[in-house]
Amino acid sequence: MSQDELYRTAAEGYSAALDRLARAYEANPETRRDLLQDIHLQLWRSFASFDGRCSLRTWVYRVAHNTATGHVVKQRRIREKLVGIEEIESMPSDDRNEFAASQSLALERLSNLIRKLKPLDRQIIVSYLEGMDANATAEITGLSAANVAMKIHRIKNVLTRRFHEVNPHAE
Amino acid sequence: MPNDFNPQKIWQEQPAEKNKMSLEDIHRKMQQLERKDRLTALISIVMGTGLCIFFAYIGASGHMGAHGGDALPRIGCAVLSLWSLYEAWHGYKWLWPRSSELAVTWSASLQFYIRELEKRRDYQLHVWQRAGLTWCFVGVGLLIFSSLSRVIHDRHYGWNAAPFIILTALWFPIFFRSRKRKLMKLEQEIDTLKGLETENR
Repeated sequence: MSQDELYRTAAEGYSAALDRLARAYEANPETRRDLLQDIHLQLWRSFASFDGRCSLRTWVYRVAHNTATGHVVKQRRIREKLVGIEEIESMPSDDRNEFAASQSLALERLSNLIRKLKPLDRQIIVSYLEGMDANATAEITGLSAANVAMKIHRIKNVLTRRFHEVNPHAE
Repeated sequence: MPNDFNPQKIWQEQPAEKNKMSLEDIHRKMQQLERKDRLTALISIVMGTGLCIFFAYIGASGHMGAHGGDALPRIGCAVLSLWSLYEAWHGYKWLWPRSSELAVTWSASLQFYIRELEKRRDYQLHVWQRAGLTWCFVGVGLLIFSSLSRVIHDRHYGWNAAPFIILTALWFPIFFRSRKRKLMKLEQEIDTLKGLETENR
């Protein structure tokens, strides 16, 4: 397939996922739009070298995450405040209504939580939220599947704990 | 309150922002980037050349108080003039359309992140060398030194120059200490990630 054809296929299959990924890396809507354009651009350029060494999905997510990581790394003031998932686990919730009634508010809170994370942990949580298993995530990140599985376990704990602090009687 | 809180569902069902880019958009964006790179390089070249001429004129005409045999400010201006020319060349070499190079790799994210942090660290360590800042500070230092010698002879001039000299003297240690701290943090993060890379091989 040509570069243009590969891009078309990727854009059709993963456009919505790339939109969501951009949200995980950038809060400001205008900057997010620029980031997303950059991701699409880098993706198209990367397809000049695509040789099928990995699946299209892995390739797309790698390029997208790497582009977004570059965006985060450049913002030194933000980069220096990022934490790992282990640190989030031990932090108290900022707001007891963290995952409150409305879906949009829950999404906003979830996005804010994700944006506090360092790039690697951010990739893992985004991959988990996109429904990928530990092996697929490991292929994208370069971590071992065991390491990824452990992080996903921590992520689930963080999300469950923050939800149950709000809804202690929920089953 | 949502009893069925499902973060995956919340995440995947978020409204899409409809930011599709067509191939025509991509090609247009590539051309825009090349134009922007070219413009940035041109500005750098023009400014560098302009500053070169400015410092050469100042040094030659003696406006910086380079009276008679006072060579220091003239040498300072000459150094700054050459440094500005170097910056113009630097702008051409590093900024001229590089959009054809792929800025992002398709390597696994861990390796990419380590490399990005190393690039930041190396830039911090070598920015003086790369940008010829040593020569810039030598030139500025020569100009300040000649002002200092005038301070000794001219108290009025000294009062005017004193705040600038004090601020510069305060700024240097603060800048270098802050830079050293930031480099150490960066190095620690790189080491942690490399440890992770070794673990995961």
